[in-house]
Amino acid sequence: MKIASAYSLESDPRRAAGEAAERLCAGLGADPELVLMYATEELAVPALVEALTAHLPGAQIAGGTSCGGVMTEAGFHAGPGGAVGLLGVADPEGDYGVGSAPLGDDPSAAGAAAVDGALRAAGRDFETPLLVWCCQPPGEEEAVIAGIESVVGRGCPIIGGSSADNEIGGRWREFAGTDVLEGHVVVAALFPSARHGVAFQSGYAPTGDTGVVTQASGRQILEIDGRPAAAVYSEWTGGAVGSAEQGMILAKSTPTPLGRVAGDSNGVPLYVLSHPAMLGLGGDLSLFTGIEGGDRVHLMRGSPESLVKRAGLVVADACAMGGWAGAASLGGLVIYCGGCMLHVRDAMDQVVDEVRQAMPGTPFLGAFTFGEQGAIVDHCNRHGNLMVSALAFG
Amino acid sequence: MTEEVEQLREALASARQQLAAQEQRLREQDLALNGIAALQAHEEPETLIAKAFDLIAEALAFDRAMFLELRDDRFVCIASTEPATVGCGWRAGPFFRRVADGRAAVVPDEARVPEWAEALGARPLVEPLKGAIYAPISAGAGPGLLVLSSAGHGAYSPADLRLVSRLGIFVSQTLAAAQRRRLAEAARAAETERSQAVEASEAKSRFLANMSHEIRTPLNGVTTVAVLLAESGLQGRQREMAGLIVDSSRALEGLLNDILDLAKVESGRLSLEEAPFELPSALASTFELFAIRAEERDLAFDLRVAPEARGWFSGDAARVRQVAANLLSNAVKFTERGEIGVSLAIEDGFVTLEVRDTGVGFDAETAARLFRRFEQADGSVTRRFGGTGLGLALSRTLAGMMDGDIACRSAPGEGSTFTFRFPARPADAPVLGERPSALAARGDNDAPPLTVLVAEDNPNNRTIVGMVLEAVHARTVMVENGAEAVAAFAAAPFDIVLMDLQMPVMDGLSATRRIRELERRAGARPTPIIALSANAMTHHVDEALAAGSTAHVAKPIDPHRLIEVMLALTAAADAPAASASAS
Repeated sequence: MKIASAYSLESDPRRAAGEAAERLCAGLGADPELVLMYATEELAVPALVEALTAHLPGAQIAGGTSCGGVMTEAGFHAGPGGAVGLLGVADPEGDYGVGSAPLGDDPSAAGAAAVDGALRAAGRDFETPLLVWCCQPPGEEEAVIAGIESVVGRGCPIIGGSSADNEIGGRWREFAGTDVLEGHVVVAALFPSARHGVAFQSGYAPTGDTGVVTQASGRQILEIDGRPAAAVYSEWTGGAVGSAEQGMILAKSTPTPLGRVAGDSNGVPLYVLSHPAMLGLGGDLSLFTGIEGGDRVHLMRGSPESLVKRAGLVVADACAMGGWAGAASLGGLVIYCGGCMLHVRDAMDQVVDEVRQAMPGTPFLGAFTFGEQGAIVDHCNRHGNLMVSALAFG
Repeated sequence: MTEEVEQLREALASARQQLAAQEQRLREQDLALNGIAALQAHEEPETLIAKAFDLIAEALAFDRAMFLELRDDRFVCIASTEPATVGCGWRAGPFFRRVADGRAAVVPDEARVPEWAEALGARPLVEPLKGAIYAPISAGAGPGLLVLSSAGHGAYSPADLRLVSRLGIFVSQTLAAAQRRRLAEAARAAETERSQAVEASEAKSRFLANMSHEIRTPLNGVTTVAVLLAESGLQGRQREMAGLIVDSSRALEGLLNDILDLAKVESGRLSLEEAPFELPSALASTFELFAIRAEERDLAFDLRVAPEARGWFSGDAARVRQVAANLLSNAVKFTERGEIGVSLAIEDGFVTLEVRDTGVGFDAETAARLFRRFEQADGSVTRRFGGTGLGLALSRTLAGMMDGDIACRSAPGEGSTFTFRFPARPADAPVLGERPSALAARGDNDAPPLTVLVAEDNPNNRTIVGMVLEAVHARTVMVENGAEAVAAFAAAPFDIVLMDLQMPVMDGLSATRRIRELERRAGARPTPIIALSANAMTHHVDEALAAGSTAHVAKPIDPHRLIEVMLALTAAADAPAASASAS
């Protein structure tokens, strides 16, 4: 099994695809069976995937849009004409397949249909893959995960990220084969011949402020402990996010998301985060994840320094979960929260360096997403915000 | 302070992940260690598999565990936690074969596995569950599958798969070690049995060889004297009694030959000669003999030879005669009225000898065992007709060695037909020089008498040989061992030497070698030496010829045969020496 990454900052999508594909093949020294592609919204046009397919005719191609740029072991890549990054896997001993389905009114069914298609494409249509990669628009990730799990079981690790654009303008897209898709679930089923490890963490810690959601609707928290959610959240942040600031608060809320305990390891709680996105006129708080009445939420806090180091630490943990030292890695994928990336954008070279140190001399691709999916230590799959989801092969 | 807390928190988070990974690996190692402790190669496969199921159950919950083994084109359940599934089979489809080839798999719902769809129709007792792990495993006899199934959909993860696969590999190794151990023990037992069998076979061969010699020596005396007695001008009742002695001793000789042939077959020492012979001439004397016997029993004897069956063929004429004689002998023996029909033809490239009779016949069950050794139609046959039951078994063995066969068809009371076939390999007729016949030479009173040196330690045999040689007016010098023979040969020339092989002081083989050495030193032409021995097995003949004998004549001596060989060799003395066996 061989892995290589490549990128291009060419603004012309065909030239970008050609340049990236050429670099990828040079790095692999073989034709890839699977190519994961992340591109910024500028390049999310059919010409990009058509050209890429033409250059890599034997590869299963899957991907989605990334916020602001991509990163590889060569650095953080962002250009005025956009950026595209590729992760290629050449593994004749393994099996890989890509499937997609429109979200429609039933995201869960879409997740199930997409993974069914991916398994068929891999030629392993009734098996549980060793892992699943996914990409879907932000909004219904929990249902998508449930749909995928309904086919492959809850024990199969799912790693992925929600497609993202540069300014939360709804210009996120998904890629599958020769198609640039909107509102679709794209799934890759992976049966690699090499070992793999996954890790899913945030760079945030609980502050001690906590409450129970007493009224919720979909992704909206209406009340916490019987009081308007916006007011409670504003109090917890010490007024950093004012309760009267109706509208988008994504940038302001990035250092202080809400967390819920998703698991437990030897008595130490594991948190999955929800990014507060908007304060409503009725004092409600909208999130980038689902929420249920009765959920206990904790105010979390993360420093920029923590967000910078976090990607490397999660990658190191993925290697540890796989059972090898980072230097023995073949390659990896880092799904990094787009909001976090925007929060520490000036330090992105340092983020890349942290990942390089975790997997010395190893190719990797990093994408910046609006929602991350991963498997925490108990092998349960979760959707979260402001998270880092890492996959390593070794 | 905040930064320090952040660092500690992140270190803690990473430590948690790594601890979890370590725990997972420890769980796998514990399972492997438990396997090493619990699974021992000296245990039977069933015990090993049952223990393996118990081990897995400690680490992973399942509702059913099965061990499937590939047999022909099906995977068959040979062990299971559900006894009703043992013996059930699944088609060896691509998925099962891929797993058996080493690629373990997790399935969320095994009802979707194609192999199960067919198993359902064939075996309603076995139903697929939901989540399952399929891992390769082998009991040493061939590829197999370890199948763990759960009632829960998607119950197993790839991490579970890794755990089971590791244990599967260990169980396979233990089972293979157990299989190797059993095979090694079986091989040792088989080798011991083989050695014992070889030893017993060699002992039997030695016994038969010795018995052959011990029986033939006195039989030689009986037969030869009986022949001479019968031809000594006796009349009436005395002539009849002498004839009975001749017949009986020859029957005894035939039985002895059958037993020796059987010993040769069993020891792999029976070999066929390959020489040109002419049909039907090669069988003429046999046909004549049994035509006479048939006539004596008031049976008609109808011989028909197809034109294409006349000519020269390659093979062992003596063994062809032996088979033909056996079939004809049986036909005459088991027919009380009617006729014996014999036809000789070439069919489909085979010389085909068909012997039909109107005798007692036999049913299909008897036909099936007729060619087994010591088998006859039933016990009454032995009492009524005599015989050992060896003849047909030997005949079929000989036919097989010729790449031919013997078939029979019969019905009780409706006679029998035996068909002997062997490949018809045409041969060129040998170019023979003019040679006086034995009878002619024997009657040639003008020829100078033969000078014959006879080396024989047994007084009776010396007397018998002397009586035979007297018939051809030979001048005979008798000596009692090989050393005396060498000395006599060095002192005076002889036309021919008759050399017994087993003698005191110096055996016949050594004496023959010494005589040949004397001839080489003197530059003399080789004198014909006939080895006379009751050691009539093939390797004895080979040894005699290798020592320098010109021919071998087996005891008991057929006087006519001995004289024929003597005269043939002396007549050919001017030609280059040729070796032959006349046993």
